[in-house]
Parts: sequence; structure tokens; C-alpha cells
Amino acid sequence: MQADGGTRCASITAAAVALADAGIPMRDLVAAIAVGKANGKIILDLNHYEDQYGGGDMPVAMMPGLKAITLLQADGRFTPEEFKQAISLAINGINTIYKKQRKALKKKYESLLTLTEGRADVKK
Amino acid sequence: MSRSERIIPIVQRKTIEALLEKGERLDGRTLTDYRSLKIKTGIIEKAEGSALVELGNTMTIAGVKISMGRPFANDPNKGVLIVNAELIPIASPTFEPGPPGEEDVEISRVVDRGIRSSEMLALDKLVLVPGERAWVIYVDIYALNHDGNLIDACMLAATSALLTATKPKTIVENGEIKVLDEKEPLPIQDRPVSVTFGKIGKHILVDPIYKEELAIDARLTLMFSEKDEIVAVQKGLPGYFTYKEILEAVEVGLNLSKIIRKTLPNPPKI
Repeated sequence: MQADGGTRCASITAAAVALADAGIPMRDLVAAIAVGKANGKIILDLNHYEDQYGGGDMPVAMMPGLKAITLLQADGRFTPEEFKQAISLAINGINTIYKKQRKALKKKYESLLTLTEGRADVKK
Repeated sequence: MSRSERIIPIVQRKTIEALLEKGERLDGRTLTDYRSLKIKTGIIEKAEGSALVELGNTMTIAGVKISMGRPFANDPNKGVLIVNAELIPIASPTFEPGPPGEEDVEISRVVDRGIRSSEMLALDKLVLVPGERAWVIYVDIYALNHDGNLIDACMLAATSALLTATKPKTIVENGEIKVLDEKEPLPIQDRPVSVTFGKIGKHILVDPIYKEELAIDARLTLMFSEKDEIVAVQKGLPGYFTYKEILEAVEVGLNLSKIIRKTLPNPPKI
């Protein structure tokens, strides 16, 4: 609905949560983020401007619980050291997203719980 | 393998896995051995550049055609590069005639990414009149025999054909282009090399043959520049790689890329 870089990664993250919310049995959630290079620095989650003029773009998706990298693409120029740094940075970002995904899924049931508690009160 | 079912008898996968457990493979290689590689260039007379690649029993051919055209509107100061790979039915019983499938498109895109991202061609030197006229470089790649690792074989054919291609010299005066009879090589700035890995169970192997490809869970292609940078990455198939596995592949791939690069042809002397 609004493209500001990282549309594919955001889609993966959202799709995984939607599947889990639908109650589909899953091995793990999938979270994704892009790392890139702009002005020679490795940066996390490129916006549209950085994506267009940066020196590299690397989307990474992972099932964090299984430590399984399921999407990895890159273009640009990364020294092996920068490449390693970029993937580590992506994994850190993915772990943060993973926590938020789980929180969002749990929140629905927390609100359901308060709702049912509320109804119970009314009956009394 | 998108056009046909990826079918492998369970017995064969078990044989491959049992061998890998001992560090061996069906064709006697170790997990990090690349197959023998032969590159012949200048095989198509009418093309501006061409190469035939034999990677073990895998065979690919690439031709470079160069013509004058318009630069893209969003890149008025650059020449145009168009890479196309086709997997034709003579290469494998699993390839069908007709419009390109998922596999053809993936190979085209990955080879294009490697050439573009490494800045192998100085596209800014291929513009004649900014916004008006530029050289258009077509790289057409065909698989002739599929015995695994078509990505690397197609990349080798494309880069070899580009390295040996020549185009007419030109003189531009007041927006008028004069094409000379004299030829010159393309403006080459780098020689990228791709190294593809397959993962079967927990084993990572380099340059898979067709029988191994039927059994692989995931594929990883890494492309390296002459300066030892990673210029393109493509992970394929539904399986996964761990962080550690990827870093190991980078190390093995970087060393192999230096050896593979030595087999690339030299630009023609004119």
C-alpha cells in the first residue's frame, strides 16, 4: 500500500503472521529484512532513497526459531567481512521483528481473555 | 526443474547421502571440487563474441550481438545490456519448448545481476549521444546439455563471450556518429565468477551434477569480483542455509572463484 523500500521483506513478515493468525500449522514464523550499503556503511532496513542510490541491497528472510535462512539475495559490492557483518545485522533485525510478531499474535488472545472476563463479570 | 516434477528415487538419494557422509560423491569428487572446465571462444562467426562452455558434461553456449539503439530514458548516459538465457529441449528431457519458464528466467536474472553488479562492462562508455544513441549489448545464452549447475555454466559462457567480443570503433562529432571499419574490445572493468552450492541433508557440496540437483534441498549461488568482493547472491529452492553454512560457502567459493577465473579467455588483441 506504500512502498518505501523493503516491500518484499515486509510482505514476508506480514504473510507469516497472517498464516499463524489463521491457525495454519507452521514450523516457525518467517521474518525478513533487507540490509544494504550506503556511503560505504552497512545499514539495516533501507528506505526507498537508500535502496535506489545505495551500494548494495541484500534481503534476508529467516525462521528465527530454527536458525534457518530461507531467503538470501544480494547485489552490490560486499567484501567478505562486510557480507558477514551484513548478515549478522540482518539476523539481529529479524530477531527483533520475530519478538514483535509473537507479541502481535499473543495480543489478540490477551484482548479476547479480557473480553471473556468482562462478560463473566456481567453474568455475575 | 520447475517444468517437471522433481522426482528422485529414494534409493538414489540414500546412495548420495551415504557417500556424502564419507565425504565422497557419485562422480568421485570431494564436496569442494569443481568439475573440469573447458572454454572455447569465437565459435560463432556472425556473432560479435561467442563462447562454448563444457563444465563436466554440462554444456552451454553464449553469443553476444551488438547493435546501435536508444539508451533507456531513466539511464540516458549508459549503454544497454540485455541478458537472456533459454533452456531448450535438446539439453534435457525435462525442458519443454515454448515460452521461458521459471528456471530460464532465474538464470537470466542471476547472470544479469552478476555482470551488472560487478560493473564488468563500463556501460557509461557505451553511450554515443546521451539520451539518443548507445550501444545495445545482447547476451543470448543456451543450455545444450544439462548435467547440473547451469547457473555457473551460463555465467561462464556469458562472461567469456563478452570478454572476447569486439565492436566497431566510432567517432562522434556534433551528434553525428561515424562508424569505422576498425574493431575494438568492449570496455571490460571486471571478470565476475559465480560458484554454486547445493545442500543435501546437512551436507554442502559445490558444483552439483544433475543427479545431485534432483536431491538438493537448497541452492546457493555466490558471485565474486576480481577484487574478491561478493557482487551477487541468489538462494534457490525451498530448503534453508544456516549463518555458519553461508560463511563457509563464502570461504570455499572465494578460493574456487580465483581458480575458475584463470580459465576465462583474454580479450582479443587487435
